Amino acid sequence: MGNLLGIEVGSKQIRYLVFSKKGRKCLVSKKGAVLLSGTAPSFMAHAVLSIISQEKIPFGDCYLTFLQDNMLSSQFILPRIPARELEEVVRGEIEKIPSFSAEDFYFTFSHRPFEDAKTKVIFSAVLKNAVDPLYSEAREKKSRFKRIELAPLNLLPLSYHLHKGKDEAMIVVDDNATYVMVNSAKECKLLYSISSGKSTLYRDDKLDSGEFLNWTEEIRRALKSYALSYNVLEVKDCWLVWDRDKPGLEQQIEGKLGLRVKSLDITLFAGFAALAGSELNPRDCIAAAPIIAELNKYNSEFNFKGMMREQFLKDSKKKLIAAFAVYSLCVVAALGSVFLFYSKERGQIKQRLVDTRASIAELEIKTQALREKRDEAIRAKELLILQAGFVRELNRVSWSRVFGEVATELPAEVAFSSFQVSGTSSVTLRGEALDVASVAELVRRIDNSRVLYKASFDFLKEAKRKDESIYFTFGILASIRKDDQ
Amino acid sequence: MINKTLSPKTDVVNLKLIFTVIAVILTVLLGFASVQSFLSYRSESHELRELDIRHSRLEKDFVSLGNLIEQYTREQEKFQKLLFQEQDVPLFLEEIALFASDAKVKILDVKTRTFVKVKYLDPAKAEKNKKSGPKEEDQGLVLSSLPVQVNIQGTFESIVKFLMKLERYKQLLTLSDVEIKLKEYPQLLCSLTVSIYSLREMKTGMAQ
Repeated sequence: MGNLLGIEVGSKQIRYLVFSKKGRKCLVSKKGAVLLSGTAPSFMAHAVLSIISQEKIPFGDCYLTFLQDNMLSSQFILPRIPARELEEVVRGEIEKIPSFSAEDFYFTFSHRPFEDAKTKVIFSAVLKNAVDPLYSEAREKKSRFKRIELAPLNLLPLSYHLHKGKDEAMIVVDDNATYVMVNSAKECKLLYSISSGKSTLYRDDKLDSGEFLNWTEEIRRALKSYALSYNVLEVKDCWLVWDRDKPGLEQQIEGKLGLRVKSLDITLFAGFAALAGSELNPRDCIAAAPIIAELNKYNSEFNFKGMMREQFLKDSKKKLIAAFAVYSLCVVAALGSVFLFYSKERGQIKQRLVDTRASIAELEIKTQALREKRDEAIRAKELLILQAGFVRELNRVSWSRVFGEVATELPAEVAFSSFQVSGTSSVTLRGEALDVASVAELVRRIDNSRVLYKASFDFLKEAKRKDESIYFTFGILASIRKDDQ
Repeated sequence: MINKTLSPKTDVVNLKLIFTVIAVILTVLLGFASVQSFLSYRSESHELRELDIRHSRLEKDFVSLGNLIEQYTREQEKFQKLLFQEQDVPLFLEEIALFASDAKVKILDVKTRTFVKVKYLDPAKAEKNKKSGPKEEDQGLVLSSLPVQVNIQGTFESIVKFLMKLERYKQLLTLSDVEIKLKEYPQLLCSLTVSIYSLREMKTGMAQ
């Protein structure tokens, strides 16, 4: 782990501490201060960036604490309202302050019930033009300060950790202001700011007793007010955060207010120490507070991250938009390609459907025509078969064979005068015979013939020739035997 | 009490929520469109497959019918080879004369009539076929016969020989109405009808 840089951004000077991590120890390796040559925010930004550049510590390891004269740290009491409306009410209260009414500012606050149906709000606000130049500079370098906090509120978690008791005060003495805070059970119950600080308490490096008296009286009133409000007898313990180059303030306060005053020191916190030879000042705790709180995991009731949420949101928006754009691109690319693929395929399929339907329609017409042709062919074939059957019937008789057979069967005493076939089966034989027996023999032979059958007499007549000899004329009816009979 | 409303996390969470909702809507819309597109594609693919199957069946039917018709045509051509063509008739008449000469019979008379449609073996079947057929009965290719009345004179043996030659003729013919009479022994008169057959395109009203 590299070095850590704690910077206290004041109105007139920038104080900083460099911490080196050695094992579990966090040592203050360097401390310094840069006097500002002007009050404009650009001077302050330039000084801070110079320190960061000089120490070669990345923005991600830098912790900023603002404690400036133009900051506003105070408390107010208002009727109890829903928590979600508090932010706007606090913003309104801050805007009532003339120096904040026309300016943009960052602020943080905590709230808690106070007395009956009231809410006590403790807040701190800083002008945006004091913070934004530094923030923008870090963002330009694609980085961000590790923490940006407002003092004296960021000192409270340190005292919670050290004391853990009830009703403990913390007095933070700045150049031109003093902040009195009282906490109990890890909650800040009072924040009171006094408009005199180190520069008014000390004149020519000597404590101005008159100013000091007024100062202590104001503190006393604040503490008494707290004691009355919370039914506490008195506040006895007090942490003091101040610039120790003016010695003896602890004793003066103890003497005047009767408090047990302890100076807040970095070395009081676990793991923190100073390098041998280097002298630490309670004021250094302001620059070190965010680092101590982070490394020791001290939680604060003030949401300093939320204070910068506009900027944070702006950055987050950019990231989210970028992430959304990437996601959208991926989704559009993935699902879009799926959609396009199937749309394209559908286009082709639709075209194929149209083509196939057309082809089917054409084929159906052609097939129907072929079917009709086939039916016609079948019909014609069947008719031809029927006709051929008729012809076959006719063609079954071999006439040469019939005549040959008949000639063979003819008795010697019989002579045919005619042989007539009507149609395909009926045969009429006519002839002459010398006697009836020969005709009868002929009938018998025809009946037993292989080509004729069913022989019967048609007629039989006796006749005389010129020489008075008798002969017989006859007619025989027969049927022609078909091949299969 | 920490004021949570100031927490940037809340805003970022809200912002994330908004973007997430938009992303989800975008994803759902695109997903829906994609799924819809896919389902339509699947449905149309299915329809196309069915149409392809139908098309394939029709093609098979078409080919099969074509083959069947071709087979019928071949059978018809084969059948036609057994039959007389229009131009075969004069040749056949010449061949009758040749047969007569070979068989030593004298042709007394040859009369050709007109082609008539051959009767059906089973008129009932023919009637049924006629009714089921798309065309009129007397239309189309039908078997027709041309009766040729032949009167010859010769001996019994020569007449039988002549008949035998006719019966063995290479093309289909039938002999009918054969009548043999004695003229002057051994000469006989024989009259017969030789029917030759041909496939003819019959016109409506052509007599059987």
